[in-house]
Amino acid sequence: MNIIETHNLTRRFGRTEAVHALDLAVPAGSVFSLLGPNGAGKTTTIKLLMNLLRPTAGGARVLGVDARHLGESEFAQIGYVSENQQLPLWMTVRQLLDYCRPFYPTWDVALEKNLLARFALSEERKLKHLSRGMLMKAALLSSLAYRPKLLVLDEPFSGLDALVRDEFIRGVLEVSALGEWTVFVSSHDIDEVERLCDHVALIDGGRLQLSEPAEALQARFRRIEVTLPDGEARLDALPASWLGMERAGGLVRFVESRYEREATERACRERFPEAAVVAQAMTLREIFMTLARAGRDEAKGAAA
Amino acid sequence: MNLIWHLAKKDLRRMVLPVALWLAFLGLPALWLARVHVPEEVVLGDAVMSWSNVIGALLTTVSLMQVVAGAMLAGFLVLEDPAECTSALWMTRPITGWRLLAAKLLTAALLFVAAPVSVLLPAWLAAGFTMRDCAAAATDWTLAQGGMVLAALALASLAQNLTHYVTVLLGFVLVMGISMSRLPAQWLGVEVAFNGSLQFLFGALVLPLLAVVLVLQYQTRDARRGWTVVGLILVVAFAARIYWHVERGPQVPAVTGVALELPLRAGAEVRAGGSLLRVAGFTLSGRGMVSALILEERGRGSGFLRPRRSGGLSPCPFFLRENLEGVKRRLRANPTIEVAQLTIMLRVWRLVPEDDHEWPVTAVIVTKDGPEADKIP
Repeated sequence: MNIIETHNLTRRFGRTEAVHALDLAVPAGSVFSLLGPNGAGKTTTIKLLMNLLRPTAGGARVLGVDARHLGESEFAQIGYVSENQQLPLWMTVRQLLDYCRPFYPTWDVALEKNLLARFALSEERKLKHLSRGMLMKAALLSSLAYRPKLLVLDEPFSGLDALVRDEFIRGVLEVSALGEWTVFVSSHDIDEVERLCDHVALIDGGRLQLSEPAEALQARFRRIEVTLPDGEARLDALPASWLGMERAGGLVRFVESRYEREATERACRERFPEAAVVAQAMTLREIFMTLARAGRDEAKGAAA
Repeated sequence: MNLIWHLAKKDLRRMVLPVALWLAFLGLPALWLARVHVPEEVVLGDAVMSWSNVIGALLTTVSLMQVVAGAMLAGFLVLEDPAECTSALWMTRPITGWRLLAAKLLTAALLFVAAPVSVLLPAWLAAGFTMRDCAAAATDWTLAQGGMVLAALALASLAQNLTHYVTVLLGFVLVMGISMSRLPAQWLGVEVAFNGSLQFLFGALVLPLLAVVLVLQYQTRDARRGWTVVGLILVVAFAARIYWHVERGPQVPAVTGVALELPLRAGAEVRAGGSLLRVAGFTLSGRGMVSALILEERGRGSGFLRPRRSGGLSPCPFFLRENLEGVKRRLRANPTIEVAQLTIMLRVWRLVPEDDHEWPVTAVIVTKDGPEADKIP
């Protein structure tokens, strides 16, 4: 079952298309990361999902309901934390929790206390006196204490220093282990998200580049290094799945985007019969950098 | 209802300090005016007009500042949970637009109507208002303040932040001010009506349209619709000013004085310690909105009597009392007066369609030199 589904989701601001025909499916119980550079359309997508913006075309379903009709009962099951969210900074942490609690029939006071202790938040401190990291934790706490079915985090790591970021991620990981929650997180910080997610989607220029389980993604991408004994190589008519081809002397490097051990070795042997071929696993960052470069090269080629 | 009250309590807590300051700003001048007396030498001398003018100017300035401060606070109340943005906390919480709007209206009613009335009540009582007077004054305040608050809430619901709100408010007031003036008619070279029915028309059309803006914005969060209605309001204001030609109503017959419970009768005498305070009581408890009370005194004797007026956005007990007390004091101090003709002009408009006009009620009370018929021109 999918907690979030979008179909042809599109949003334009004047002539600018912030999100173009997005098709996403977020499985229940997953930690789903929507990744992309700044301005890729991540926040717009989340705003469309949370009914903060109306789509220009297409639509989205969240918790089985059309996102445009999300009501009290759905929002009672959604936790939303965003770097841009306006919090009542004049309140103390305690006042924020007391304010939020009556809206949620499922508010768990024991969990609230547990999270307060885990996040080391001082109840009597005003939100405006909290550091950015602590403020995000307070927002997260107020979005977790009712055990939401869906937790949406929009760029939660922006502006956080490494230590606080680490604490925040640990906090999310800890609480996601506490229940059957689906976490939907958007970020441009691939390294941080890599530790969190089990599903990943990449968006660039408002267009979805890929969406699949992180494990499968990392399994099908490999950095291939070919060492040519005689320096001779035929580099024309390469398979479309070989991206970012580079050559430096006797060394040829590229990324195989449809890696299968036997098939890749066979393809390499056909082109580089005497060469030594090494396949290395890639991080999500490396995969996304490769895809981003390939996308830009393709766009340049199309423009030319 | 519990959640509405919960939301309202949050806003009450947030607004308590600024509203307390605003209430002090309302109450202190009113209390001062209720207690101040015109010095005897001023009453009997030529300084009375300049003294009165200074007080009048001060009162007008303070009233204006009170209204501006009230409008800012009402806007601040809405912008605490803005309706025209995509980052407000309430939008991703289980809070519907209806519930939030109900909470905002409840808070506004408590902070901008109930609280000021309870603050002004001691000042009214100190000025000698009866309970009936107080109820009329409270109604007067509620109507005037309620309209202002509604406009402020509606415009703030379309604003993205406080700066945007101030800009929108200034623009709205400016355009409405121009439309209410004679300028559009002068530009177009047409004659315009200047009457109370126009006030009624504004009340009947503009206020409901502002309410529509508020409801639309909290329900759909589609500001384009709200701005369209605001545009419609401004068009209505301009058009009404130019094309609304309902003339003043028929002259008020003498019997209207009775209908208004004016305690006047032909040949009534005014003596020192007479019944003039009862007239003041009437003025404040009469039906409709009393916008001004003008006392015009004309004497054949020493000629010292001068016109003075009271008025303002809210009933000002001070001027009523001082005018009437001053007349009595002057009568006491100057026994040489043989004839004093006291004209009381009540500028009244009522919020009922068939009486949609503004008219002066001039009741003439003749003293000493014999009865003269009441005149109500």
